[in-house]
Amino acid sequence: MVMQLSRCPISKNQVIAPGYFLMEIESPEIAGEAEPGQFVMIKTRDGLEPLLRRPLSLHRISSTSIELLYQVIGKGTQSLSRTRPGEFLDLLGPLGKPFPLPKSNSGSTLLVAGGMGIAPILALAEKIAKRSKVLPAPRLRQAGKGQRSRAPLKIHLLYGAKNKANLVRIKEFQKLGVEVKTVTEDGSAGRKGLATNLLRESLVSSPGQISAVYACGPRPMLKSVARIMKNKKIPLYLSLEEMMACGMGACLGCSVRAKGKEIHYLRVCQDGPVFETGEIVL
Amino acid sequence: MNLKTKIGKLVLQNPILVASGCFGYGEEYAPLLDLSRLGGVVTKGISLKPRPGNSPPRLAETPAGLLNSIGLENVGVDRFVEDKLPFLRKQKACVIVNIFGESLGEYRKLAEIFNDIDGIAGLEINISCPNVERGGLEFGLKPDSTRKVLETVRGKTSLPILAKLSPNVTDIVEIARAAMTGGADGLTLINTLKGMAIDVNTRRPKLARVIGGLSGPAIRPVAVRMVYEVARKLSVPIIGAGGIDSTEAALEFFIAGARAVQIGTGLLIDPRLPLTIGRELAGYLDNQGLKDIESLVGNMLIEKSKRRKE
Ligand SMILES: Cc1cc2nc3c(=O)[nH]c(=O)nc-3n(C[C@H](O)[C@H](O)[C@H](O)COP(=O)(O)OP(=O)(O)OC[C@H]3O[C@@H](n4cnc5c(N)ncnc54)[C@H](O)[C@@H]3O)c2cc1C
Ligand SMILES: Cc1cc2nc3c(=O)[nH]c(=O)nc-3n(C[C@H](O)[C@H](O)[C@H](O)COP(=O)(O)O)c2cc1C
Ligand code: FES
Repeated sequence: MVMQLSRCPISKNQVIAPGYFLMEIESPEIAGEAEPGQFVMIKTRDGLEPLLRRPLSLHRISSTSIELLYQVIGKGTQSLSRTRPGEFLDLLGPLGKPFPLPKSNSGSTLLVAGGMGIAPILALAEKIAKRSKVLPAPRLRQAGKGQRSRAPLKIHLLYGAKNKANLVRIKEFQKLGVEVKTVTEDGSAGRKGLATNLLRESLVSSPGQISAVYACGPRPMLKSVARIMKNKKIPLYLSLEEMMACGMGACLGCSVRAKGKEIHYLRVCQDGPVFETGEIVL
Repeated sequence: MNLKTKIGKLVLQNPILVASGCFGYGEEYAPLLDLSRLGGVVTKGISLKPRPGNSPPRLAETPAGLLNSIGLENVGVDRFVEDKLPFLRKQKACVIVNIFGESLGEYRKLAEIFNDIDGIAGLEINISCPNVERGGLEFGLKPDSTRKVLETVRGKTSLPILAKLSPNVTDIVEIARAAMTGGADGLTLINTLKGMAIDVNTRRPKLARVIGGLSGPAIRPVAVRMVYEVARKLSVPIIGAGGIDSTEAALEFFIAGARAVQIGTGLLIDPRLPLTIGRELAGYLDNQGLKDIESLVGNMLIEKSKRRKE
């Protein structure tokens, strides 16, 4: 994995929901190296305010460009939202460890997203869907039928947001054949509840074997996902956020406690942002 | 253009170094810049035993600044020598090891260990870290303890040693003098300023440890002033640091009296900044009609009458 440091042209930057922006950046170099789960550090504008780069996940990866999905929070994301197509931004990436793909190409994979946690999940769904089309399903191949057919791997998105407007990009998931279930905290769309409610139900109702669970969202959500999945013997991958400065493992600023008796920290930017649940204490 | 500079007996091919704690052990940044082209690589602070560091959050951004409370997380001297140093050597980096102890005995032991190891250009003695319970800043706040740490290290090594001083003192000149008396070959000025920030919505401190060290452009005027004061009162070799984010910022330090500079926070934002500054520095000297970096150091134009009044 080779990271790049370069000024890249913005080809798209549009509002897709109140305070939510979708940005497309042309960079064959970054796109060519990038994997779902990784992120970029962006200098949102020249000058001292804000001082540091901002980490944003890869929302989508094509052959020549990347897409970012971001919510306007403060100074950095605000100035990002004012960037126009044709302007250039300084990017460092791709950074961090990607999501490992499910080991098995059958059964079902659960993607749990809370709020802006949806951002890296689309890239992951695209990658899993693409792979399951290329690889023949294990059972069919064993039966000696020879021809390629759609693998029975099923992707489920369990997606919770504050309200209806904050549920974004659902069509993109559906186009991939992902089965989408949504909840909102205020009940303005679908049922009222949290993504973790959907996870509990899916564990009960899911017909086949669950090959892996992936989660990205606020820390409390990740904690409860980890609690629910405890002792289930299903691989669980969590994508974490922490304040970052360098984004590449040098400053030791973005620590998360590693599991174990002795106090020891891992770097979210370099050892993560994707961790297997057994590696860390949330 | 001759960019060579000397800090006592430490000779550097150019005066742009990377600061301790902002460059890890060099591995992370190596894909982005050639370490052999840096004036020097100052390592993350190394202690006798590995240290886990402080609990997160360890970072907070402030106006033109960065607060950190890393707490000197490091792999310890054994693993540094075994796993990290060979890489730096292979890259042909000019390695300056930043060391930190909780007691005089620990500083002594570290000096002894590094004295016997090849491929190290010098030691930087950290007596100024605000983010640890014991040692560090405690030593650097008083002239007496400053001198003792330097004497202890000096007694055990023939390597060039730099004392890294804290700005969190009333009289920097007094501390600088003590460090030189103790046997330092030069001084690194400055480490971070103590600071804190509060999230008003949650009413919680932004750092888990509440108080941390402030770095970045916000502290630059303080750093330039300290370099100037020390350079003027004592003629000692100084490496300046604090908020360097451009060639212009680096130039201020040279003109104030520094013979070299270190880049910390600026590197976290632009990993290639040291090389950019190195390039632009040569151009600046040319424009000013100066033949080398030596002729710029301390070369601030000021009327004699004003200087006397300070
Ligand atoms: C690996 C990683 C991937 C991320 N991916 C995305 C993404 O795809 N889309 C997206 O919208 N956001 C993402 N984030 C969060 C995003 O980086 C922050 O929202 C952004 O940095 C806020 O910057 P700002 O200047 O707008 O707000 P600021 O003014 O800096 O901060 C406003 C508030 O946001 C909080 N905040 C600042 N930085 C972070 C951070 N790094 N993590 C959590 N909280 C923070 C601060 O505590 C502060 O109170 C990601 C964060 C990480 C670490
Ligand atoms: C994240 C971080 C970690 C640091 N770690 C160390 C350290 O281990 N030892 C040390 O002597 N100084 C350390 N420093 C201080 C810097 O080396 C430097 O003196 C200071 O940040 C001022 O320079 P700057 O404004 O260019 O960052 C650290 C600074 C930062 C921002
Ligand atoms: S942000 Fe610097 S180590 Fe992770």
